Formats: sequence, structure tokens, C-alpha cells
Amino acid sequence: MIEGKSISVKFKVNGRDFQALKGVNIKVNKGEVVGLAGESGSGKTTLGRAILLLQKFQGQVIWDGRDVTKVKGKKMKEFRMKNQIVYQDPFDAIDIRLKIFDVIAEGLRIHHEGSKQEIRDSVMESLKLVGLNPPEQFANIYPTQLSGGQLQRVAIARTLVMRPDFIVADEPVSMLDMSIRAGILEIFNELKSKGTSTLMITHDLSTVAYVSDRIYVMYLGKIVESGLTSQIVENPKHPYTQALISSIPVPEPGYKVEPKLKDEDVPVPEKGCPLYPRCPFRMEKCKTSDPEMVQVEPGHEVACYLY
Amino acid sequence: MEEEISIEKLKTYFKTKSDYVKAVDDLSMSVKKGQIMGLAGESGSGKSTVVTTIFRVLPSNAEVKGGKITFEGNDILSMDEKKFKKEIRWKKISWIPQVSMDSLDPLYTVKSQMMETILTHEDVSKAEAAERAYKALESVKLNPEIAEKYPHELSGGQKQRVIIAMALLLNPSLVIADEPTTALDVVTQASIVELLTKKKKEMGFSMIFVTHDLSLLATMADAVTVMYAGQLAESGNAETIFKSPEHPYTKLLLKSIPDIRKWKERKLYSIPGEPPNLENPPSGCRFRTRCPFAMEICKDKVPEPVTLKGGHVVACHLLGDKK
Amino acid sequence: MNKTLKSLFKRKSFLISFAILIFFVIISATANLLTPYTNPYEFSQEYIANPYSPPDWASIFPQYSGLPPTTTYQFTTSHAVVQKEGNVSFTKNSTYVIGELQGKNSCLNVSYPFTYNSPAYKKAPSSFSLNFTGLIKTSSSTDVQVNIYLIHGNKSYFLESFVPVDYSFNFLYPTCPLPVNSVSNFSIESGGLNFVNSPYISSLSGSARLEGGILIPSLIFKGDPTSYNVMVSVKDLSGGPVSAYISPPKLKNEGYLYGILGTDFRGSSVFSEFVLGARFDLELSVATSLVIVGIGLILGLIAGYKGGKTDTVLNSVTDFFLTIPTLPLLIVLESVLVATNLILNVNKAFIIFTLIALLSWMATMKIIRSATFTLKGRTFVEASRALGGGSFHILFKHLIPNLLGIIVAQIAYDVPTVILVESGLDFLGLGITSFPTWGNMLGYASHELTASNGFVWWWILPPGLGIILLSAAFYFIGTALRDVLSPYKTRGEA
Ligand SMILES: Nc1ncnc2c1ncn2[C@@H]1O[C@H](COP(=O)(O)OP(=O)(O)OP(=O)(O)O)[C@@H](O)[C@H]1O
Ligand SMILES: Nc1ncnc2c1ncn2[C@@H]1O[C@H](COP(=O)(O)OP(=O)(O)OP(=O)(O)O)[C@@H](O)[C@H]1O
Ligand code: SF4
Ligand code: SF4
Ligand SMILES: [Mg+2]
Ligand SMILES: [Mg+2]
Repeated sequence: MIEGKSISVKFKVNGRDFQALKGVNIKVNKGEVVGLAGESGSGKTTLGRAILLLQKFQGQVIWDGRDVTKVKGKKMKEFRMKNQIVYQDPFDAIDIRLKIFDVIAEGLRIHHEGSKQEIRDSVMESLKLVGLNPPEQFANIYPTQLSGGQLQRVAIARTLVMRPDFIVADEPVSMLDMSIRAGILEIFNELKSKGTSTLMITHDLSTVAYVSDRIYVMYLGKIVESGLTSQIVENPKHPYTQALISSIPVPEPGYKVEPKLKDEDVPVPEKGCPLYPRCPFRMEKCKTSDPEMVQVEPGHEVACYLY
Repeated sequence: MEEEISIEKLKTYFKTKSDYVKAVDDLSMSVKKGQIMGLAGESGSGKSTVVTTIFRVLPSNAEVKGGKITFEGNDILSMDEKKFKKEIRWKKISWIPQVSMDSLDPLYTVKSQMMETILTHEDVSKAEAAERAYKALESVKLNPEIAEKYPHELSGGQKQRVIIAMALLLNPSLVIADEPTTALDVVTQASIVELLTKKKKEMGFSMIFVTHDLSLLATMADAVTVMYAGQLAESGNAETIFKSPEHPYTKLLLKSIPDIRKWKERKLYSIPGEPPNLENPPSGCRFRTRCPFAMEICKDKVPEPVTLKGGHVVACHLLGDKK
Repeated sequence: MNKTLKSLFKRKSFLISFAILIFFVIISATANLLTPYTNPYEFSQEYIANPYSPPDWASIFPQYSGLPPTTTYQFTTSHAVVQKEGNVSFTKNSTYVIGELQGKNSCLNVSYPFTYNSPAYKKAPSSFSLNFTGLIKTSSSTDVQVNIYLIHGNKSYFLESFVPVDYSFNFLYPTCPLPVNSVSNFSIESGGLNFVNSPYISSLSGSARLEGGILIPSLIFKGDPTSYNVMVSVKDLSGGPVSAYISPPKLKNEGYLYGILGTDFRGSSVFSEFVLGARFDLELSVATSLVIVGIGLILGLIAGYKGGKTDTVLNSVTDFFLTIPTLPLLIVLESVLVATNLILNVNKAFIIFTLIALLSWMATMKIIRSATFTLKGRTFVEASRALGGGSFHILFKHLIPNLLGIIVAQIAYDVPTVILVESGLDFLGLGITSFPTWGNMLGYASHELTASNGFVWWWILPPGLGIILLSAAFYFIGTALRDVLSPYKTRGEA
């Protein structure tokens, strides 16, 4: 469906190069919800933006078997129409000058999709889909009149109205309260049943595990483990993934999170395994060379010399 | 146990163009010495407003309309600002603001910001201040190299540690941490929480830990207060709140927390409806618009907090007969 | 929009500024109705009153009380008192007193009484003028004289005498030709009278005879009584039949007080200068500021949106322009262009307009550029791109609407800048000199100001206050618009 091959991204920070992504491979199949978890700042958002061609990168993006890395013009329009993104911060992602109706209709108008009436119908339908009822009332107000949760739903409606094949959902629920998260996640579950694929970015595995088929785990600009949700949650291999799973707080009094990693304050290593300074299992070899992804069981890959 | 701070019938409103936002309305709670009180509730329920009222850093459109906050036998609210600033703010009570990742001044190095804090409150030499700054960084497991860096050169976790170090610099007896880990990943969150609990043990301060993540409180809080729409829903020790909650809101909230151990069920719950508008909250119980047990009386009467055994306080009409 | 307007009108500073602006807009728009003059600096529109005349209403102040105002007498034929000598018959219609003269030395005297409160005034009027039209029908061999008198009490001042043109032999007053058989204007200016054309002045002696025209108002308009007559007399010298049509005259005594805002050193109406200046300044500054913001907006948007090399180039060009000391360059360019007559047929206002615009867009460009930069980094701009929106879509749907507050504010902020620069040029005499602007009103005022004429406040204050008030009004309006139209600054208030 959509695939990123050895994607690398460099940023200039204070005149110095900063390698945010280092040759990342990622793939999302049709009708799949794929989780992308990792430390904050590990490059999850950057990866999501790169495979949607919103960020300059080195490497390749393959969409439906075609290399779309350098597409332009009409092909690009088609790509944009079918691939959508929901941003992390709904307050920043919506132009507050526009009414909710116009926010959602923007994409359809750009692509001249349908008559006025058709656009109207689609907008109302997608408002209903994200649970903003009655749609007529929400369509006519401005973003400043909505709460963060409602705004995030508007942002999701804006992508749904395009009937995308693939959505990058960048922490779609982290801004939301527990009490309304489930409603949003349910939308993605429904989309899945209609054949839409999603890359769901998160730094909280506990929510994404509820909807995802597969999970990628990132650390410092690299994928360190990938596998089915069951494999990652129940049988994490990489020391970082293990820490990630065991650090998830559990709603039970007295439950103790045992930190598995050494305290973090060490400079990022120039070479070798990125986790080396914090890894409790590190070996001499980890210091100098960087482990490749290897398969540990069908569909489960990990980049660590332990395997 | 002795109380570190106690809040009685606090009302903090925000003035808006048309009306008042009743962000905190008749809230009472207290924190026992040496305990971590978790303050939970959904976004907009008034958690930050409670703590900024305690620390007396409310925005200019806020008005404290009533109540008392007793700290060391004095009412903080009626205290003279000069006195509060000199004796209490930062010295006795310190605060890790919600937007704390941005609360470091981008123009100064970590060290100079820390020294500034010490020098404005204590009469010590510069060398001694610098010495203490280094010690404080070390005590939060930061590499002392960080002292010379500027905030933008730090990662989120590092920044949060610096802020904790600064909050603990003056040996406060009460630390208020407003969502100190919300923007961080769980691994970093776990290490920050561990750091805070360890420091609490070492230094013996009490803490108010604000979060909307109940499961996080399960791992660290001694007591929990749950707020809904500016009012108290339920409070009690952690065991009680998690094991035998009485308030419908707490029950539903607990149910909606995702539990990684139950991922296979693939079923998450949510509470239907949206949090109420605090400019014009529902009459009676503010939760009644979303409460599955709402009764006629919930519309007419505000439920008074009822104290059950073990200091468990619940504000719900369902408890009317259990008293 | 309604909400925007409401929040605008809630601000006191905006309301006051808006009222000031409306005032100036109204006086500019109705300038042609408010004043009969089109360019008070033109020779024909000068000397409408004594130079440096304070406004009429200034007579409430002691130092200006007792000054004679400018008074105009417009008579009608019904006021006419006709006397005849010899064989004369007359009729009146609404325009003319018509006399038929027959016989040598027959004479038609048409006089109009008026009052002038000469004893009440400290001074005589500075000058007076008299106008009427007449038609003299006669054959060429007939000799006619039209004589004009002012009569005060028992004294009669023979001001001037007109005789037919084609009556060619040397007559007593050859400088006052009188056309025959066609309607002509008779006009007397006190300043133009002298011992050659005025029998009264030639009857004086000594220096008074030489000073004549300047002196004559003070010789006539003094003392009791307050009743005067102006008399037009037609005299048939040769006895042939003469028909005379004489219209009632218009008499104007130019005083030392004038109109709403007095006069300047040329005796031109300061009020009309002020009103015309307001119109000119508003038009020029609004037009220039639109162009300034236009240039700044386009360059700033391109630089901010494109970024990279484009930005570097545009930004360095802007920086280069910024290092130029604008005002001195403006002065040099302006004087070179004008002095060398390089651009001959171009309106000077247009040169100034272009020069100011070309040298003032940089600040706007910088502001728009950095605002665009910030906006471009906002996620909603990327979101629009992710939806498939092209650059034009993003520019027109997101960037420009969000910049609207800044754009409008910049236009408003640039107006006072332009007014000040333009006024500065005019003040220095480098700008527009042939037409009143607030700047050159001040310029002339300060240039002509001497100890003897004192502080000509009615001349200096209007343009001075005008510049200050209008600048402040635009500043506050700009700020208010920026705040109201910039959504992200006011976030959280709603
Ligand atoms: N435009 C940019 N310029 C410079 N550095 C950037 C830019 N965008 C991201 N980065 C850096 O790249 C790294 C990866 O950022 P990214 O936003 O992809 O992380 P993330 O995994 O999404 O983190 P989070 O969980 O906090 O959202 C970070 O260190 C960030 O500071
Ligand atoms: N300065 C202000 N003016 C008006 N209303 C305000 C202001 N600050 C906060 N509020 C409102 O008061 C209520 C309580 O806000 P508060 O920040 O205390 O919530 P919170 O529980 O800390 O939420 P969060 O979890 O999002 O931080 C909210 O409805 C908020 O919109
Ligand atoms: S490669 Fe080595 S250092 Fe890296 S995670 Fe595996 S054991 Fe740890
Ligand atoms: S008081 Fe009524 S509405 Fe409120 S929580 Fe209890 S039962 Fe529900
Ligand atoms: Mg991100
Ligand atoms: Mg808060």
C-alpha cells in the first residue's frame, strides 16, 4: 500500500546538521492500522511527514507499487487526495479564520470534488461520523468556540471527507481526555473495516495497542523493532521496547513501574547502537557497530545484537 | 496525620466578556504531610486553577470569590503579597508549572537561571550558589555539563529534570507539580516520576501532583482527589479510589483508562457527552448531563460532599443514604 | 464581520480616531463646496483680504478687537437713488438702471447708500474694490463719460472716470477706456488708483498724491457719519443721444479679519488652503501608503513563503535599501529631478509619490516577511498543503487572510509616515510649492514669520494640528485594526 524505503532526514539546527531519521524502512498494508511508538523526539512525526511527501528526505516512497518520491503535478494531486494526515496539535492545525464547514470542505474544494450540494452533504456526513452532532450546528461556528477534543474531531473529519486510502494520525488522542479517547479510536477502527489504512503515531503504547495490527518502535531516528501487536506487547525483544512496555502505568494502586533503562543523561552516541549508553544488556560490540534488523519470528524484526 | 495544606470551599472564577467561568467552585481538599496527593480530572476541570490559586500566580482576570487555604496555620489567600513572596513562594511552596517545558528562559544558561533563584531568596555568595546549582543537577541525575547549556539544547526529559532541580533548590515543604510528564514518553515519564518520589523520600516534602492520567497516579500517589467541572467529585486514599470508587464519574473514568494488560479485548470505554461549559454549568450536580445514574434530585440540588470511613469523601446524591 | 466591528467600536481610542478621520474625509470630499477657491496660491486668488488677517471670530480677543472685517455690499436696482441733470429720462429693471440722455452736459447719477461703521474700527479697510457692468449705446461722434464717486457725508471722492475707446483724441483720463455698444465690466481696485487715473488722487498734494492708492481707503473710510454712497454718473459731453445701462455695483471693503481661518502672507484664505491641503495630503498619503504596502506585501510574501535563496536575495535587496538614508536621498533626488527639469511633463506630486513609495516599503516588507515566516511554520499551512493545496491556494486562503490585520495596520501606519515625509519636503520647499499642502503651509509660515507679524497662529496651527491629529488617528486606527483582525494574537479572549 504505502512504503518508505531507507528514509533519512537531516535538519539544520544552529548551523549543525542533525540527523532526525537514519535510513528508516516502514510499510503499511491496505486496511491495516500500524502503530508507530517511540521516545519523544525520536522522529515519529518527521517520518509520518516524510512518507506523505511533506518533508524533504532521502530515500524512496512507494505508493501502490509506484515510486512517488518525485511526483509532481497531477500525480501529486492524486497522491494528496488519497493520503491524509491528522496532526498532533489540533489548535495549531486549523486556521481559526475559517468556519468549521470551510475547514472540512477545503480539501474537496481544492480538488473540485463534486458540486456545492455534494460537498455540503459530504461535510455533514463526516461531521456526523466523528460524532459532532448536530452537524448543521457545528458547521457554522468557528474553531475558537470548540474544545480541544471537538477540534481534534474536526481535524479528523477534514481528512475523512477526502475518503483517503491512508491516514497518518499523529498522536490523534494524546490531546484528549481519557474519557473521550475511545470515541476517536473507534473511528479508526471503523475506517479499518472499510479498508482504510492508518499509521498511528504515539508515545503511549497502551492506547494504540487497542487498535493496531502491527507496531513499529523507534529510538533516536531508527526503527529498533517491528512486529504484530501481540508480539510487541507480549514478547518485546529490544531492550528499549521492553522498557517502553514495562513503563506503561497500570491503573492499579501500588503497581510499581520498574525502570529498565539506565538514566538517560548521556550524549547521543556517534556510532554503534543508539541505545548503548542506556542499555542494561550492552556488549562491547554494541559500542562500535550498529545492529541491523533481523527476524526473530515471522513478522517480528528487531535491531539488537542480543538476537 | 498532620495536614500540610488544606483548602476550604475555594471559589476561583475567571471574568470573561459576558460572565464568569466558574473554574473552581466550592472545592475543599487537604494534603497530609509527607504524602503525594494526586489531583485528577479531565482537561478544563480546574486542576491548574486550584494550584495557581495556592501559589498565587493567577492570571489577571481571575477572582478568588471565597474560601480559605490554610498553610502552616495561616490563610494564604489573605496574606500580604510581600510577605507571601518573601516567606512562602518558592521557599516553602514550589511549583512546576504545566507549561514547564517552556518555562526556562531561553536566553540564559541552566546554571545562571538556577543561581538567580538561589540568590534572590537567600543571602549566600555566588560561589556557594553555583556549588548548590551543580549539586542540585547531580541530584536529579543530570550530567553537570548541562549547567552551561541553553534550554533549547536540552531534550524534553532533560528540561523537565532541570525544572525539578530548580523547584527543589530551596528545600520547600510543599511541591506542586502540574502535569510534569504529559508531554513525555512513558519511559521518560517513569524516570521523572521515580525521581520525584525518590526526592520526596529524601527531602520529606509533600506534593500535589496534577494529572489527567489516573493510571499514573496509581503508581505513585498516596491519596487522590478527582475533580469534575470545577468541583470535587471524590477524594480518598489511592487504594480506596482505585479499588472501591463511589462516584459514578470516578468509576467511569477508571473504566475508560486503557490497560495494556487488557489490550486483547480491543474494547475501550468512553464517557458519552462533552464536559460542561463552566460559564453556564448544569444546575445541581454538574455531572448529571453525562451520568448514567442521574436522578430527579441531581437536577435540583448540588450534592454535598459526604465523608465516609477512612476519610473517603464523595459528592453524589447516590450516597445520600449511606452516611 | 459584525463582531469585528463591535470590538472595534468598543475601543475609545478607535472611536476618537475614527471621528477625526471622518472629519478630515468629509472636509476633503466637500472641499469644493466649502471654499470657492481652487488654488489659493494662484495670483488671482491672492489678496482676498489683507495679508496676515486673523479670522473673523478672533475679534473676541482684545488684541484683535476693533479690526475692520471684510465687508461686501451687493446692491440691487431697487436700492438705486437716481438723480438727473438736464434732459434725461430713466427706467429700472431688475438688472439695470437705464437712462436716456439728450443734450450737452446732461447727467444721470445713480447712487447706492450703504453704511460702514468707520468710527467703530481702529483702522480703515486695507483696500476696497468696486465692480459693475454697464452698456453705453451711442454714436461714435458722441462724447460720454462714466464717473465713479464715493460720497461720505458732504464729501465726495471722484474715484475714476471712464471714456469711450474709439474716442481717440487726447482726453483727460486716457487710461480708463470705455467700450461702447457692448456690455463691459467696470472695475476699480483701490490699490490701482493713482494720480493719473483718479481725479481725486490727482487733487491731493505732496506725498499723499504719490501714495494715492494705498492711502485712499483711510482717507475715505474714517470718522462720522456711518452712511456712505457709491455713485455712478453718466455724463453726455457732446449732446448726442446716449443710452446708458448701469448695473448696481458690488463693493467690497477688505478688512483685517477674514473668514474662518484668516489669511496668510499672500492674503489668501487659510481655510481654503487647509481644506485643499487636507484633501491633497489624504489622497497622496493613502495612495502612497497603498503602493508602499503593495510593494512590501508582494516582496515580503514571496521572501517569507519561498524562503531559501529567494529570501536571501530579496532580503539583501531590502537591507540595501534600508541602509540608504532615505530622507537625504529623497531630498537629493527630488531636487535633482526637479531642478534639472529631467522630467518635464510630470506632475510634481507624482514624482514625490513615486519617490516616497520607492524608498519606504522596506519596513513593511520586513514585517510581512517575518509574519509570513511564522505563519508558514504553523501546522494549518502544512495541513492545507497535505490536502493538496498549491501555493496560490495557501497564499490566498490562509496567508493573506491571516496577514490581513498586519496589512491593514501597515497601510494605516504608513499614512502618517508619508504625510510627515511629504510635509517635510514641502516644508523645506523641495516638494510642492505651487499648491497648498499642510507641509508647505507650515513651510511658508515659518519662512515668512518675522518678529513684526508675531505668531500667525491661525496660519500655523491648522496644518500643524492637522498633521498631528491625522497621524495619531491613523496610528490608533491601525493598531485597533491589527488587534481585531489578527486572530492568533487575541486567541483565548473569546
Ligand atoms: N523543522 C525542524 N527543524 C529542526 N529540527 C527538527 C525539526 N522538526 C523536528 N526536528 C527535530 O527532529 C527530531 C524528531 O522530531 P519529531 O517531531 O519527528 O519527533 P517525535 O518523535 O514526533 O516527537 P514527539 O513525540 O515529541 O512528537 C527532534 O529532535 C526535533 O527536535
Ligand atoms: N485566564 C482564563 N480566562 C478564562 N477562563 C480560563 C482562564 N484560564 C482557565 N480558564 C478556564 O477555566 C477552566 C479551568 O481551567 P484549568 O486550566 O484550571 O483546567 P485544567 O484542569 O488544568 O485543564 P488541563 O488538564 O487542560 O490543564 C477551563 O474551562 C478554562 O477554559
Ligand atoms: S544492540 Fe546492544 S546496546 Fe543495543 S539494544 Fe541491543 S544489547 Fe543493547
Ligand atoms: S449526583 Fe446524580 S448525577 Fe451527579 S454523579 Fe451522583 S448520581 Fe450522577
Ligand atoms: Mg511528534
Ligand atoms: Mg492544567
